[in-house]
Amino acid sequence: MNASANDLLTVRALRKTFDGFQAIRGVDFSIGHGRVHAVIGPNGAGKSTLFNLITGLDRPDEGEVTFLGSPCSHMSPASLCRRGMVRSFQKSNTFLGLSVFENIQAAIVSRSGEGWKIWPPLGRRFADEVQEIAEQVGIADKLDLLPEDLAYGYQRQLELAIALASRPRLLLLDEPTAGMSSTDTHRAVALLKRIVEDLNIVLLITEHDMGVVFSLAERIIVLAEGQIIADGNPEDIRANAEVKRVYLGKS
Amino acid sequence: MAVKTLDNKRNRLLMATALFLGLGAVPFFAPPFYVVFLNDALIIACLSMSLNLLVGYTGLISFGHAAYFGLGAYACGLLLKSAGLPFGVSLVAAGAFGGLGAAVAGFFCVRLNRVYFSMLTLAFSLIFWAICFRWNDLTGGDQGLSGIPYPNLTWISQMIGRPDFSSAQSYYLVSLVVVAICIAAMWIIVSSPVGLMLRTIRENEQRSTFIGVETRRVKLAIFIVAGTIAGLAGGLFAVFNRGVYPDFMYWTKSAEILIMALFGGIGSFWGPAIGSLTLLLLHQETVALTEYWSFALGVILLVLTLRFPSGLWGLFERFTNTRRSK
Ligand SMILES: Nc1ncnc2c1ncn2[C@@H]1O[C@H](COP(=O)(O)OP(=O)(O)OP(=O)(O)O)[C@@H](O)[C@H]1O
Ligand SMILES: [Mg+2]
Repeated sequence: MNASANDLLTVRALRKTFDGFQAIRGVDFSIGHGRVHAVIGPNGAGKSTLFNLITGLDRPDEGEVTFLGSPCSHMSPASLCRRGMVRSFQKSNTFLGLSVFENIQAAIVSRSGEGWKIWPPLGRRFADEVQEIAEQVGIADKLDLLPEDLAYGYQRQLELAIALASRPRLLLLDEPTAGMSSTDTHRAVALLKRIVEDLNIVLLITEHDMGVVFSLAERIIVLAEGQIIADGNPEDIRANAEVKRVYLGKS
Repeated sequence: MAVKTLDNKRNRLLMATALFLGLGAVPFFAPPFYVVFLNDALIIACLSMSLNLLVGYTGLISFGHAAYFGLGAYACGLLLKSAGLPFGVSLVAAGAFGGLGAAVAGFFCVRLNRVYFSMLTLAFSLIFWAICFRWNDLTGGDQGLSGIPYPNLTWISQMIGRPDFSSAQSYYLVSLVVVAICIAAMWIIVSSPVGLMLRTIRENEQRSTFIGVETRRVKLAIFIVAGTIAGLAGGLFAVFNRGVYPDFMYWTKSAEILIMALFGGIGSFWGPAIGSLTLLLLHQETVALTEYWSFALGVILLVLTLRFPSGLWGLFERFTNTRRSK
């Protein structure tokens, strides 16, 4: 596609094979303008794999990912995070032995470049920022708990808090509402809307819940068997016959 | 809340200072036998605490930590004996060699995770051991390196106004100060931002990289710090015992330090020190019955793993907490 130099993210001719199985077979897209982009597709379509390739958890066999104008397929997740590409995971993924406070504090420490300092002692430094982020996602009264003591919906919010603490420019959320009750889902959607508006963050999400997708996304990429079969605004996607056949028809 | 943490901090500092002064007072009234025992105990406690930086704080289970203790011991012994360098310089070099060994081994080890990390640390410790064991001309091979000259410490006994102090008594004070500096350094590290980064690696290394932590570099750094402190401990130990032997760095020694740390409790800062002190006392008591030592260690390990995975310190905390909450 015609990617321009000031695109936030460009994915070009990406391929990934696992033991002969082609999980991603030639994916191209770019994120220029627009706030919320969704990747949808049936189970096993390759959505998580695509996220892993973009965020440096996995290396593509072919193709290239460009973030903020520089090729980044060789970069580590840590350096991508420092450049502003941050992600969450499909399965809850936090620091289980650390308090909710420390989970968020750790991400702030790392982002602010203090991760290598041995003086002064950390104590409750950054408490104000931790508080602010925790309030944004609605877990401010749970800072002294351990992640495992949180209800599932709040664990997902904690993940979001950790991600926000890294001050992302591009935030990739892998099924942010999976496994949530419908009340939690409504709250999460409202929260994501607010965050996108308040914090000037571009979101790229995968999601199975079409209600969530259509209420959040301005643009939808449909992935099936490792290939993009449609890419456009929600109305186009709703009307697309191919998409209906592969995906929407089933649900 | 803030007031309470401040109080806690001050209390901890006060307690550590009291401990330091109390230990410093020992040679002034206790019989020399205790001073000799306590000197070794302090050094080994410092060694197992340095291992705890890896095991307890970073989740890196090293099976080869004695290697860096041994490297420091050989370096210090050789520099004193063969090169005739002053004690202070040799001791610093002991730390440097421990750190250097750890840098070489760590460069490879931190690339692996879990049991593969442990196996590689074990492999490196065997290699370091074999080099020291085989390099007869330099290290004395299986005979070890004996006759390390004792430093002249009369300036210490004069400074504190006790010219009657034996060199062992003065040396104990040196050990105490060096160990205290090491412990203070470890305390600073674990309470610092770096300390929190270490714990994120322990809890979930992959997630840690996604908050921007260069986990390999951090792991290598803490591996080198732990190796440096182990090296310093080795240097102190070698000079006091006037000799270095290959089994200082044999893998069984590494296992022993690990057991000490686990026994005391790797979930806490002081646990490993308590563990090593307790085990050394036990060893002292059963020294006439050496064939039972392995048996005793085995039983301790068994009870520990099955009943008290958080070690002596965990027991102690549970006890004080229930008392307080009643
Ligand atoms: N590490 C791996 N090794 C082997 N196969 C893999 C690996 N990761 C993913 N796959 C396969 O690649 C395909 C795509 O998986 P992926 O997790 O990306 O799907 P997804 O679209 O995220 O599905 P879901 O909606 O269930 O999360 C699946 O068939 C999966 O089995
Ligand atoms: Mg997935």
